Amino acid sequence: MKKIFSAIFIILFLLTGCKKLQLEVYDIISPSTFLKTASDAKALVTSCYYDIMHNGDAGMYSYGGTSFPYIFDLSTDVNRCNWGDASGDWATMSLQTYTPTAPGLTSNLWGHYRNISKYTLNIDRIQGMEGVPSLTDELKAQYIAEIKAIRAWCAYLVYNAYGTFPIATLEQLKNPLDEVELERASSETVENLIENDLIEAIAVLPEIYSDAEYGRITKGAAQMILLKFYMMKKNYVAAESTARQIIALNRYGLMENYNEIFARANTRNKELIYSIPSNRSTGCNFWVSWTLPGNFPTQNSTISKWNGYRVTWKFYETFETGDKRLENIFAEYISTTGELITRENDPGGIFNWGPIPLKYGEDPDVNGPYSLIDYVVFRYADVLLSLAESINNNLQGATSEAIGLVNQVRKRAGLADLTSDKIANVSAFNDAILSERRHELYCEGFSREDLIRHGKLIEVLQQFPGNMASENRILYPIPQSAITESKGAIKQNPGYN
Amino acid sequence: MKKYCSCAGGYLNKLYSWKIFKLMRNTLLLVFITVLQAYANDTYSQNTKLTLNLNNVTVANVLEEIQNNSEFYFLFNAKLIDVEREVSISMEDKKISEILTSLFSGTGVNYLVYDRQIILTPSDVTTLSAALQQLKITGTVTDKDGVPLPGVNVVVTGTTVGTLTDIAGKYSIEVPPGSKSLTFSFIGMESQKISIGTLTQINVTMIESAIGLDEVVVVGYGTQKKSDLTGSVASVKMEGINTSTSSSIGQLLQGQAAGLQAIQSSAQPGGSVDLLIRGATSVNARTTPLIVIDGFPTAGVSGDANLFYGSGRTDNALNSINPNDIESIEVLKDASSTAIYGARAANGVILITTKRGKEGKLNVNYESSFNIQKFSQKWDMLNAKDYMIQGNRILKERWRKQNGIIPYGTIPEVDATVPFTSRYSDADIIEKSKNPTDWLGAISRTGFIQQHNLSLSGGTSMNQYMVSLGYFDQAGIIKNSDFQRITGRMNFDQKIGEYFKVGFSSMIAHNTTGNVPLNGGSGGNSSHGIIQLALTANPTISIRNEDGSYPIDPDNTFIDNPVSILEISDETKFKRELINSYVEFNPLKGLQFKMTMGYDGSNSDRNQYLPKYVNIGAQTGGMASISDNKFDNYLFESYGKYTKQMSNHNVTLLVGYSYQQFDNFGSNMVNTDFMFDSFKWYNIGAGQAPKPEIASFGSSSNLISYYSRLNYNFSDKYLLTANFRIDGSSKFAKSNQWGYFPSLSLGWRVSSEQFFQSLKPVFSNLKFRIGYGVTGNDDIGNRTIDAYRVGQNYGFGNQESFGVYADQIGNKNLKWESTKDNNIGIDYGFFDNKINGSFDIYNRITYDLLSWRDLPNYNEITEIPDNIGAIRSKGFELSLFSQVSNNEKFKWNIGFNLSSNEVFWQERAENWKPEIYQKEHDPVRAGYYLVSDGLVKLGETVEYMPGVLPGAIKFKDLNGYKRDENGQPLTDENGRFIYLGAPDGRIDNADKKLIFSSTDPKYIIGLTNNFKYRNFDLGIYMYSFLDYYKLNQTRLAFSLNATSIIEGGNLYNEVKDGWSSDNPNGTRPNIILGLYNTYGNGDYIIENAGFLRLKNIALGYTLPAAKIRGISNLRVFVSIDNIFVLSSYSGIDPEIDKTNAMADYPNQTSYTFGLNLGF
Repeated sequence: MKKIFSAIFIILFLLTGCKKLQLEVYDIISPSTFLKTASDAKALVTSCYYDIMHNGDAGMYSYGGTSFPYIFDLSTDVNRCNWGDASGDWATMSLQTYTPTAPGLTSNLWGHYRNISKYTLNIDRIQGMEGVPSLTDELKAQYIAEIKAIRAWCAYLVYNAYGTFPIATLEQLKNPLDEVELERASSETVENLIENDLIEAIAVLPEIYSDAEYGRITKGAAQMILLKFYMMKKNYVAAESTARQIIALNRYGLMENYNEIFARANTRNKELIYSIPSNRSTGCNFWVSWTLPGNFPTQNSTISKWNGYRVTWKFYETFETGDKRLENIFAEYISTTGELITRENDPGGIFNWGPIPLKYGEDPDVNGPYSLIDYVVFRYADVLLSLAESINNNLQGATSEAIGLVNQVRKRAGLADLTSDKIANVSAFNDAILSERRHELYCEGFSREDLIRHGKLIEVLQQFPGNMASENRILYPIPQSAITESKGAIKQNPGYN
Repeated sequence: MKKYCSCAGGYLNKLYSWKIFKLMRNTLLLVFITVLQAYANDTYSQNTKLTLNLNNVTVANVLEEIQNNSEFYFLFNAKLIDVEREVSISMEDKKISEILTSLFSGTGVNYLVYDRQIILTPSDVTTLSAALQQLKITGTVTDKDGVPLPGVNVVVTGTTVGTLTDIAGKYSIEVPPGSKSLTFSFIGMESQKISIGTLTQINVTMIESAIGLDEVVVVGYGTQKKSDLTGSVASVKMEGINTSTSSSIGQLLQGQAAGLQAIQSSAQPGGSVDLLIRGATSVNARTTPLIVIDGFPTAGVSGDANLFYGSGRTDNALNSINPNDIESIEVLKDASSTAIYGARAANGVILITTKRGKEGKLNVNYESSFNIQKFSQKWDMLNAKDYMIQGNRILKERWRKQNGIIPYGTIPEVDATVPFTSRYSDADIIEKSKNPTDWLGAISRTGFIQQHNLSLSGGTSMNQYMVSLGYFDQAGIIKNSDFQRITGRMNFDQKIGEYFKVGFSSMIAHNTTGNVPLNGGSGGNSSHGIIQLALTANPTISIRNEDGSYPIDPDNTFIDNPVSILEISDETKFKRELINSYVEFNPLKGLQFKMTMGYDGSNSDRNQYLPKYVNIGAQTGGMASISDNKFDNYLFESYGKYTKQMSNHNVTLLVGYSYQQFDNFGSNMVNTDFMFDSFKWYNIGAGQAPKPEIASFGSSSNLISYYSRLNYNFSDKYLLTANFRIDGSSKFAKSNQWGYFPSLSLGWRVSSEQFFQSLKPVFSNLKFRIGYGVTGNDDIGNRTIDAYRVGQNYGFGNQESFGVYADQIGNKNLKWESTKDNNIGIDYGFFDNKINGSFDIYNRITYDLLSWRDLPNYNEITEIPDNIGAIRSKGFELSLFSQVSNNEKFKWNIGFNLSSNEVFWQERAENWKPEIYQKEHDPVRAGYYLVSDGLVKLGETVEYMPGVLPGAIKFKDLNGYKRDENGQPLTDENGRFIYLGAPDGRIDNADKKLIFSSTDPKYIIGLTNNFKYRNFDLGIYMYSFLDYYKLNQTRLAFSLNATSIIEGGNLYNEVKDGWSSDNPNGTRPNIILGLYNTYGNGDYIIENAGFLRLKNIALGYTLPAAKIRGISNLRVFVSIDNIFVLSSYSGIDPEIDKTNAMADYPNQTSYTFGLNLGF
């Protein structure tokens, strides 16, 4: 009996050793099953768009704490923020007190250069998809063109903020385990990348997409990025021709009323060259919530009001009287509790920095901060003003065409044509154009590059007490962590050493 | 329980070995028996029949043969019974009484059979004594319940004269003239020394010993006598620990075991406790110990989904175990004790042993307690009047700064372009402070806990059972925070025939947690939990409007009314089933096979509804979330064990196999836009969101292991334990799936050596232990495969499109993280072990750390999972137990433990790129900060901090980078930056210093005092963390971030001490500085959070057993929990406050009344 039991037991004992080691993970995608269809390629392209904006305030081009336009505007006289305004990250931006180890909000920007690697690899991945029937040559070319446009856009923004940055080759990117301490690329390399990518993209991209695809980069949007790049380089010849090409597309025009551009009823309006489609899942336009003080009356009472953004009093004072663009900049208001709130009766409070720029309208349908007004990135008025500036600089004078372009914008703002002193010479006209641009495009992230181009940034910043602005601190400091990570191969910008 | 008996039997066999007799020739042999039941059960001796055929052997051989073939064992005084006598015996199927009668007839030896215990006494003992003209003392020895104890050793102190008590607990002893006292001893009981004086009758009540040298401790896959241990094991017996206020055993373990760090991470009902054994020995992989419940190595349970609002920090795993069901907790610390668990043992192992039925009478126990809880400390916020006064002051300072008024500019106040007017006029301040709102009062209440536990246990020699039911119900001191638990436990062990035994145990727990939003919502608009809301809320606003709606501060409209948050419904229902069964087969003496099958399944359903009363609900039209998390863990295990004793050599060999599978699955859904709040989450389809969220995830992995252990013991003096385990984990690629974990430890019981005997009166026990071993850690998730992931989406056409991105570079070479552990320990006892304890020092190196190697930053993916570097941890543990007084009237025991742990880098990653302030062998969890130097004084310019405001935190310019002619920092040949060695006129990383070595306490001290006076008992328990540093996040938000008052946020009272132009001697920083300073806050905000907590005082009264009929035991008790904390830390609790969270659930002082009833 004992022996039988023993035998049974030992057999059972041994049988248990037959299991195999096995791992199952169900929520990731294996490379072996991916990039087999056109929709796989499309999903890869979509992930590149994600970097433009996501979650409402992250990404390179929303108007929130991690984006380029917001941080650019904070570095001028245009935007101020109430959050930590005496000495915080926001004040650091406004007073240029940033350093490599205390980079303030600029720390959010440097990392974007890395996305260029992702775009390079994704272009290569899509290019490598051979013999996929659903992925036609046209579609493939378009997808690659879209990624190239995003790559150039990203490079232009990082270049604008920091100057050059490291660019890895495809070979280096494909061997991530082989460590290389990359130096910053030359200006030529960066500029060639931007220009070539955009020229190639413009040749391929369609002028318009179906409604369901709204938000993909069009030919016009790619041309617009190229125009911004040429303006930044003061390459006015190329800028002029690019601006004319955009106009020649004949798809864009000025809205009649300035404030309509930013209203819910007019999403996808004719003035918009690129806007970020708002959507509850991927990201909404938080402007109204970012800006409004808690007791500011709104028709939709459930809108969140975080009391953040202001334009400075100094900037506000540069507007001409009667400028309709001031209609949505509030220097006083009657609060929800019926009190008149002004700079005078609440010193240190709501209007401490300046008036409230309610650039976007209320979204009557959606509650909380989640406005579905598409976030405006590029628009036609910028093309007109850029063309005027290019003509002025190319022909060394204010032609009637150029003056007409500016007056077109002024007229919509309810202002009279430029007076003769403003067009007396190239320099006066340039000043007039700069002023017009700043009033037209306030809080859209362009003021910093416009001031730099016109050589006026330091002058404007020095109006503010306590600022550290100087000619060799126009570029932002590269974060110390990036320099440490490269073991010193990445050299710091001048002005921070 | 067969298992228990065979183990104890093995021990007794050893005692009987002949050499020990010789060794102890002049000493009275103290024979211990293990556990005796209150009522005799003589069925065994009646039913057992033995067959013996022995020729020309000694009586000792006969006795040994009987012991080997039965469960009987013998107790006798070797000096009085002649066992060297040669006999021959031939008996077939005879009862023990018949055998003994035949064996001892006519030799003057009497025998007594008491269940399995047989006591031999000389029949002429009285005559013998009389010849010596001695004094006769008689008496009865009983246990604390008055039950007679047979077999107790009664010895004339300091002599070899002695006897044993009989079956009625009676003894009779002749003592030589001049004898001072009698010593009574019995295994598992405290020895007692009673003065003789003129007494002729001495009755003694024996008390179970709280500690004993020969205490049995649970180790991996079995038990061991404490005296045989060669590893480092701390044992916590639950008896005497007050469980009335704690939902989790974690909360009871603080300061209880040297080397175990238990930090309560939340004081909320069901709050979690972070457990660490000998510090965190990994950097990125799991650092928490493996928890083994009754032999089942658990692998965690399902956690709560993170919905819009978090549920705080609860711990489903430990909360699903009723502390009252636990018999003991063993903490295995060094590799020689943990290596048997191989791959999951690097962080130590906690063995939880639950109560099981014992052979003997039916035991029914009912325990109940009621508890009231109050805030132990509240936050000190501004009252309504001061709120307005400080608001005006901060507005004015901000106005000064903005308008360039002195000291921020050159303009005198009177010349300001826009003059200052106060937001609140004097009249306002009087008017609005008339009916201030106590927001904290409005969301809090008196906490209440009730607890009921009923258990029933008993058994015969063939089967034992234990059934228990527990109910725990807590209403926390913050409204809506509740915790309820129902636990059921059943154990059943059955012997089948001669060779088999089977057993089942099951544990079921149903926990219901009422969640109140304690930490931030996931949306940008509602980042405040309810406590933070209550603290920040404007005290001049009322709780409700006249129409019943909730007013919102007009200055602060995105912040919810704190009381409206109570309208949120949020509940977690957690269920766990842990089922375990075994079959044991004992074909030969000493040989055992055991197969175990088990299942540990848990399920956490968390559901939430955010009604339109709260901002997020109003904005979404009501939001309902349903989530479900499942975790299934299957175990199959079998092992064989063989124990053999050959004269002085005692060997136990264990070989086993284990298979474990871990599956998890989770899903959740969210819908919004509900017509009626009343649906809550019960009608989620009624939401009208254009695209409701749905999601799910899951994975499965397994672990195959082979393990073995050898115990060898020579003469009870020289001990050896060797373990070897092989683990295969599916988490690694094929070539690295198998890990090998050996360990070896040696012990030397010096006190058993002949030469030591003269020291024994003082130095009663001394043992040295030394061990070395390797253990592993595989807990890093699934990292060997390349992976794309969905989630970088974009809204083309205003609809979400899915974006796929490359997310992970798998590492095929990834392998186990391994820990090499060295442990040296000493166990000691003085004065008959009245003072005893142990001391251990350890040094361990964790190498092949499972972590992420940083790839150069330009890459698409900037890290790859890899085995990088090594860390070293070292420390010591001291435990001390002292029996200060142990007489019948007054008893006093002290338990003390102290442990220390530090963790350093031993070897950095190959591609480590340090910041200038980091050093190769720095502590792993070091805090580097700028060094603050008070506040910037009015009129002071700090050259190296351009633009700094007066009253700002000033930092020291200590050092700088060495730079080239262009000012670029220079590096040495290894790419490391070089210090300049002198201040360089700027504040940067070169000015940072190591401010603290660890976020964990370096020293943990625990102290317990137990007193007993007549029927009263009193326990005092305190613990302390030293060298413990924290950042007080709440203070940052409510004191440093003072400008938030402009938007209606209330502040700490201490903001009055903030620097401003009209308070230039302020001791706190400038009130308009805010939270985010250009240079950060440096070490200014780091606080020493070391503390001493008087955790518990409990006073009990036990009614004498005879007083109430039908009740065998009744104890009533009162206790106070968390009486005070001594600390220089500024927050409300140095243990609960977390560095990365603010306004944590406040700790409570609890007042308990309870009773314990036994039938």
